[in-house]
Amino acid sequence: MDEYAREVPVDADVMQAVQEEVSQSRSTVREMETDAAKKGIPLELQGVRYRIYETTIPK
Amino acid sequence: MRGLVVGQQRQGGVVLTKSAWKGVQSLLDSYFKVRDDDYVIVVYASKTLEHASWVSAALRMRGIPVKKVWMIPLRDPEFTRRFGAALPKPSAIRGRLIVLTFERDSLSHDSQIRAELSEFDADRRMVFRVISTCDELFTVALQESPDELSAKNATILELLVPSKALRVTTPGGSDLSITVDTRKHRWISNRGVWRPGSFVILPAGEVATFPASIEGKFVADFAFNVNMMTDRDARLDSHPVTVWIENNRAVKYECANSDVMSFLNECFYSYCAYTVGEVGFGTNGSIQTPISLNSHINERHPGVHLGFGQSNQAPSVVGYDCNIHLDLIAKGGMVWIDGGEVPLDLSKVSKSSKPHPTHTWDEDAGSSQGITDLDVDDCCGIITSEGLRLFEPTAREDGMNRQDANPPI
Repeated sequence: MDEYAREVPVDADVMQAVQEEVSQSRSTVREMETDAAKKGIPLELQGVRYRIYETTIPK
Repeated sequence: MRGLVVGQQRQGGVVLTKSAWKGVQSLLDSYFKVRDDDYVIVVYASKTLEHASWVSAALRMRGIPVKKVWMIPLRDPEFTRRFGAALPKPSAIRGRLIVLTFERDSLSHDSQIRAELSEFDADRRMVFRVISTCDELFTVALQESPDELSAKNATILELLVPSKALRVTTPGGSDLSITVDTRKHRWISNRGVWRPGSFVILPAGEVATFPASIEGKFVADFAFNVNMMTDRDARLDSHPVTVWIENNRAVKYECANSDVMSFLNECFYSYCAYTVGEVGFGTNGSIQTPISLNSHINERHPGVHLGFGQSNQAPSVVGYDCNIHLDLIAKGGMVWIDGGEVPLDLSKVSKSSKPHPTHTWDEDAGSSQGITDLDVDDCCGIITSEGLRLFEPTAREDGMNRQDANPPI
């Protein structure tokens, strides 16, 4: 994987916008996960993660 | 470098490289062809919050309205309410409604999304569903445009759809004889191009169908991709898996890595995934090195892969069903068509100048419709003239279960 990792940082204005967005998302996730836990809704499930034939017919 | 640290603050904060940001821009410009009057809903699972935020931030920087909706993968009793509340009124949008969903391991809530979007005109609602969300989705898989993928997929379809018999070899030692029956089995072309009424499954880049018959030896020396939750390292480049196939079924398999053998035993024996349900040809040329994540990114590598277990056709067409779908992926591949002397080299597929065929299916994955708890008793129901006959496991001396009294392995 190392050959895919090109660790050249983005410009500062992009980084700031992204960090603000990530921070807001983390806050939302914490709030939602806490609410789900209070309601007894499990956050993690194991098993089949998708099926490949249940699709719609494209028009 | 392992893909990403999901749902957690990475050491040193957010890691966003220029190549990842280029992937974000490619998603917006090449895949969405986003316009100023579009309205975007970004749905994300906790494990993908960082990557969803990259895209949301990019949209905001362009002044395009965006709302984010959190979801629990697979089962979320409140998803419909949460998603519905984020939707604008159809009359309030001048352009298109674009729904983008990010998950790492799953594709969830298809039917709920379709139902909630039913008020929007089919030609003004676009849905892009991302599975295998990780850094490499952006730094690698999204670097190739849907126009490029579409042209390469078209080339493969032009050659293979009219064909009857294929011989497939790979540099790793595979040699397979395959027949195809286009009248009976559909072709799937995943190319990242949206069409009204369908979902776009990302990452993109694959052509696939069901092998009417398949025999020979297959050497998977790139990676596996299984539709189960697993943290196993999916790479097979240092310990390839060899499978011998007779009469469409795996009859023997081997791998020098004992952990991988254990995993294969689980798939082939416990879950009966020994029937070849798919032959696929990856077309995403940006994907040249396997990643450790169990992911669709590896499956889009320009090479041949076989899907064992669940097929890409309706169970009533192929006569069996199975919950497990295990893709074994080879690096590269040559395809000889109907005895022709010049093979199709999957590493050098040319771009067709003709329009992509319209009769193929776009989606090659969908929600599991509530099937989330994998158990051997649920596996491999057999479609018979009397309807679905459920698999009844037969105890073996070694403790593993078998699908029938004369198992192929």
